[in-house]
Amino acid sequence: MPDPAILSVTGLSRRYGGVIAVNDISFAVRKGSITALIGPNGAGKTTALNAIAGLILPTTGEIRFEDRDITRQRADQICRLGLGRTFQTPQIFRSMSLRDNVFVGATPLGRTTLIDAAFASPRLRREEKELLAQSDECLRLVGLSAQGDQPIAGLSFGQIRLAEVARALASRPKLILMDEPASGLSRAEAQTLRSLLFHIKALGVTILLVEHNMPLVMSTADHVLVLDKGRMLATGTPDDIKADVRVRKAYLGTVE
Amino acid sequence: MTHDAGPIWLKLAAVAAIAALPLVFGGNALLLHLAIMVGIYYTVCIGLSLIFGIGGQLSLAQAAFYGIGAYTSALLATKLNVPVFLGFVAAALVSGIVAWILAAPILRLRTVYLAMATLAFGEILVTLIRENRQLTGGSTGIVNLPRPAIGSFVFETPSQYYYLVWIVALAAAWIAGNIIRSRFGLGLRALADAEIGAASCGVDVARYKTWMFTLGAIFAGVAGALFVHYLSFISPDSFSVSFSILIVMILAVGGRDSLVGALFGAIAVTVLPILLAGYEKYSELVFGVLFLATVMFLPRGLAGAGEALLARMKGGRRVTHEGRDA
Repeated sequence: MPDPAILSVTGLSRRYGGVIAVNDISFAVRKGSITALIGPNGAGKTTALNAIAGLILPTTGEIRFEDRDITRQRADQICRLGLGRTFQTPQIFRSMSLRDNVFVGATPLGRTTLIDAAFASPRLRREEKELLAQSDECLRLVGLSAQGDQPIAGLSFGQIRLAEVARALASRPKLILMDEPASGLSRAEAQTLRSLLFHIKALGVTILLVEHNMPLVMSTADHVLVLDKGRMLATGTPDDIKADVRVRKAYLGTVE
Repeated sequence: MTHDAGPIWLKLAAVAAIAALPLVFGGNALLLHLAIMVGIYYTVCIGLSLIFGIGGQLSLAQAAFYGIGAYTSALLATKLNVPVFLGFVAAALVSGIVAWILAAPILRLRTVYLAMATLAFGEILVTLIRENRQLTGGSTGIVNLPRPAIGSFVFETPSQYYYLVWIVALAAAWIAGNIIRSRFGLGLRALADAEIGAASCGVDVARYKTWMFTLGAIFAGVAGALFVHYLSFISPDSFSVSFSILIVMILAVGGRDSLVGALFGAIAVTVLPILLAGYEKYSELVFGVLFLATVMFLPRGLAGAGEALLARMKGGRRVTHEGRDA
């Protein structure tokens, strides 16, 4: 019996003026899986991700996360429900250290109030100590423990990508959306990312991965969704997708 | 706490120096007056350092909240004979409530649009005060405002008022410093750096901005009330938009992301006109040049430059937490 869906998208469309970026797509992400969303440039992958994460409103359609309708929720509300994300163009906090970046990621776990903060209550101090330990744990997981105190702006591009993963994990999400985490990474860094994906999966976190790096997708994903020109072209296991004539045509333009 | 708040001995030394000042220089009326004004400006600056210094949202409404607090307390004392300390509490409440209401529409704006909207709010407020002569005395203002008192003890002498002002200023600095160092402060810094990134980390951007704007208005309101009961006089001139701009400049010169910077800046604008005694008409020019020079050469202000210098003297150790003193 297949695992239940943690995320289900039904009839999602997003129109920009006369352009339809995403056109009536439906799919489900099974709990505990690594699901990849692939497709040529301009296929609508990032638009779909942004709609799920609450950064844009869909024109039509419904998005459910754990049986809750999140279609019209704000990004911060969706994050607090347990849905973390990373960005294609990293959205890091440049004036802060790496550790503080990851610590901000733990925001949804905070239970103390601004009043606690204003008077530095013992409750707040205790909580911050716990959240800091939790953040350090996430840094260790992505292999950046040693760089914690460095300004994040001084890290390499690959390290910044991993830092965003650590930041997304710091909220203890149930589902993490990753937007092209391997782009701009060296071969070695992509290898680190690959094993990191399996580590995250082993922690019980579901992954929805938008990625162009096909070897990475085919060697990690349980399930692959292919978008083309805003429509869902094909879905299946990596082997199904590799064998699919329509997919090869969309990517290569020809079929032999 | 995610980072060191600066050496405790340095803070204790600063508090001791502030406490000792009237004992050492009590006979110097000018110095005491300047020290009182520094304390009042510092409190207003601390308010702005949250929303603007850390949160990056340029508000030019700080003078308006300073004025709202001042008029609240002055009117309660003169029209209804309310004890001045109760007036101070009312000043905090009214400024805070107005800011809270204003926050929802105005903080959706960013950058220069936010600056213009807050500037317009300040102009409207000053006009309302000027035109409501019956209530506010118009441009002439109100004289003979009473001094605050606890029972039969009145804060009459400059030394007594100095301690009152600085207790408020240090309390404001302590509260703001605690917030800046907490996860709320980091969230605020995060939304200034990358708003989408912060929202996707669960930071409720609108709510954070509203809280910090409101808290800053409360500090400004109390400072305004302290100011007018010190002078015993209130008129709209003190609350014009140029005062808001001065506060922004104080933060820029001192270092907008640190409370030490706000103190440096407050001292600079208070002392500068005195240093230029006889050439007062050039003081704005000198301050303007100083402002441009710091913006161009010391982007993190006097406090940032001092921190970098201190780090270099310690043997070239890199400053890891950018602008993280409080």
